[in-house]
Amino acid sequence: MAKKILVVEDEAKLREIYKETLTEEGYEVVLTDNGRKALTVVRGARVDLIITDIKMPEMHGVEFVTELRNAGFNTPVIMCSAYEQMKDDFDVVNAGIADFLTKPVDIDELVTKVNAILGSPAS
Amino acid sequence: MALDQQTVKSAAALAGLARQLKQLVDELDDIVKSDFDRPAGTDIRVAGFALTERINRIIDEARSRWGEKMETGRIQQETIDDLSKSQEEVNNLRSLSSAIALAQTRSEVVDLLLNMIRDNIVPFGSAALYQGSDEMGFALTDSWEATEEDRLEIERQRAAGFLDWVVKSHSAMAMPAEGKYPTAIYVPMKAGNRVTGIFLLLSPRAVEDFTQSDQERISLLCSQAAIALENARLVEQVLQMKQYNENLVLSLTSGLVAVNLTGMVTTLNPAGLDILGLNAPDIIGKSLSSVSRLEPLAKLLAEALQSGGESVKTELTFVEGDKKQILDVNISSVLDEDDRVTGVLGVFADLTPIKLLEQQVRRSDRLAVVGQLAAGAAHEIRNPLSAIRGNIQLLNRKLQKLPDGGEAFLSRTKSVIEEVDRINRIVGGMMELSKDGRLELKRVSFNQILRAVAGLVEGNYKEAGVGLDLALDDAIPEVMIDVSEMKQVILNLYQNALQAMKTNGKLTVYSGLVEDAVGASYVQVRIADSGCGIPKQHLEKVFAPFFTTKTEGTGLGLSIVHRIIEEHKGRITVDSVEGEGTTFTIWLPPARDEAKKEPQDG
Ligand SMILES: Nc1ncnc2c1ncn2[C@@H]1O[C@H](COP(=O)(O)OP(=O)(O)O)[C@@H](O)[C@H]1O
Ligand SMILES: [Mg+2]
Repeated sequence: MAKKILVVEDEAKLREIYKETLTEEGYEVVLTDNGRKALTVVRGARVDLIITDIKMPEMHGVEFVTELRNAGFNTPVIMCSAYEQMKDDFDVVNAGIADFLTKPVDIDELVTKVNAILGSPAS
Repeated sequence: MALDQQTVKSAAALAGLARQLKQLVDELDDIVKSDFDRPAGTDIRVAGFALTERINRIIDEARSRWGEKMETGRIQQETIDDLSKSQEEVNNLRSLSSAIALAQTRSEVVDLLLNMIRDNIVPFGSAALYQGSDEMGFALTDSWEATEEDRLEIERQRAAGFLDWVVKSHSAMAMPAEGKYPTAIYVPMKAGNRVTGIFLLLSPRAVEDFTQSDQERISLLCSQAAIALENARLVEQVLQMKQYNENLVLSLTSGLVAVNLTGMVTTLNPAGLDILGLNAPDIIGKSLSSVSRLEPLAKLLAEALQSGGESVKTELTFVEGDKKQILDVNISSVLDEDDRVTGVLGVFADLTPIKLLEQQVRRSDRLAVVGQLAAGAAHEIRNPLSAIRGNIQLLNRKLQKLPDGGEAFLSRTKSVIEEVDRINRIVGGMMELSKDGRLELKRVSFNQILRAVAGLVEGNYKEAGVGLDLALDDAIPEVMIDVSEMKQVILNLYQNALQAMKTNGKLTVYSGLVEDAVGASYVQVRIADSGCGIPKQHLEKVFAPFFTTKTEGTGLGLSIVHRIIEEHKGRITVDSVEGEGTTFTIWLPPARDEAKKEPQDG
């Protein structure tokens, strides 16, 4: 069975790119467009990795990760932002963030980082 | 009654004395007439006449007294004594009143008067002066040597209403007093027909011993004093006016220069000297054009003279070496009483600091607008950029799977990605600009930054065949800076310099401690390259966002540099000679001594 990646991103076009790239690598990809929906997904099914945008409507990325940790999930998370500074502003260690991606995302870098965290697409 | 021989002789002597007195009076008259040509001179002359009148009366009195004494038959020695005393008195009065007339200031006059009265006419312990006028009433303005008890008496006297009486009667009088002194002597001071002040003297002499003659003599001195006082007041007023005008000119913060019809400088105030950078007033009496730098101002004044003193308002620029000074100048004509032009007057202010400030404000304004825009735009731009870049990368992957590896298209997709990355760099720069200035200040030596960043670019410099020299003064005080921001500043400057230089070029970096014009010290860093230089018309634009002369440039490097230096309360300037090189100079305030030393890493 393929490892499952949840992508939380409000831009539809970007979601599609993540999906196509990661599917091609052999992962199973689930898409949502905000943090609240993402929480529901995590509660309902096994997720191996979450890639989340930060600036999103309803529940933004940082809020989402905080709630996720509070709910007891320790799923690895890759944060993705247009602001490079976010890396410094956000307390990576405390929030248990596995890695950061800066927009515009380089899909080769994306694949490298995902593989580094998950080891391989298959579980 | 028949006159004896002795009496006749005495009478003859008396007549001789009277003639002498007459002669003295004439002399006094001459003195009074000739001695004063001050503003109040006419008043003094009138007073002089009055004085001679009085003295004549004294002489008459002496004469009639002599007549009386002849009748009583007890003339002789007594009369002669009396008369010689009169003569002495006249002499006294004469010198006293001319002394008073010569006194310049109010206090001189009053002091003289009081001393004369005390020494020559009637002793007194303390004195008070009431000043005012008929209409406004009189108020106590001064007192001399008055004890608490005397003060009470002075108050009691005023309450008794004697003052009003003196004002009405215009003549001196003695009234009984209750304190330590038995007598209060009132002395009116008259200017023309008006009483302008009243002296109240508390005297140990009994009221009945205050004679008609005492009263007359005091009045005489006092009217002389009143005129002198009026005189002193006028003189003081004129002096004050003169002082006031001089102070006005002295304390003007604007420069003021006046030239006469021949173009000679007649006035140049301290602010003017300061603004024009002249350190001595030796320009006064010379032509302004004797200082070559001031030629434009001299020319402007000369033109104004030629046009008959027409008013001009303009800005002048002085250039000396690489220093530029901008003056705001207002020219107007100097007219005499008959409205003839006697010269021209220039009032000027140094606009250089204001112009600089204006430039800075304009720059900061632009930065603020760009910054806000950038913050908002970054996200909106980076998302679509992500989509474009991602899609192209996916397309790339698909192309690579084609039998020929998609070779025909790969250069196109590669170029799209490159362009996307360039847009992204611009956005990054704009976001850099918009950073909100939260600095993580650390106390470090600026040399540390200069060395660290030099290490980063060393390779690039070597590769380009360009030298990199650090001439650093290790004695400079430390500064409070955000190390990573400041590294970015220096990196930008090193990179710009490298891009401006060819093989065999050289970058020299200096650091040192300098003082500004007002004595404040700064850590100064100069980054001097031997590159292409910056054309004059570009010099003012290089700090503006998006100004670039490079095909691949973002034009944001120096605006970021500028923002960071400003946030550190420092200053950055650029000097350049086209074809020779460019120097960027940074000034930063040294860390204050009391600032706590922070632990340093590396
Ligand atoms: N050391 C230098 N020598 C010559 N020109 C310079 C130098 N530094 C900056 N400039 C000029 O200023 C412009 C703006 O510089 P900068 O803001 O760093 O943007 P960029 O380097 O992206 O062009 C440059 O394009 C160049 O014309
Ligand atoms: Mg640059």
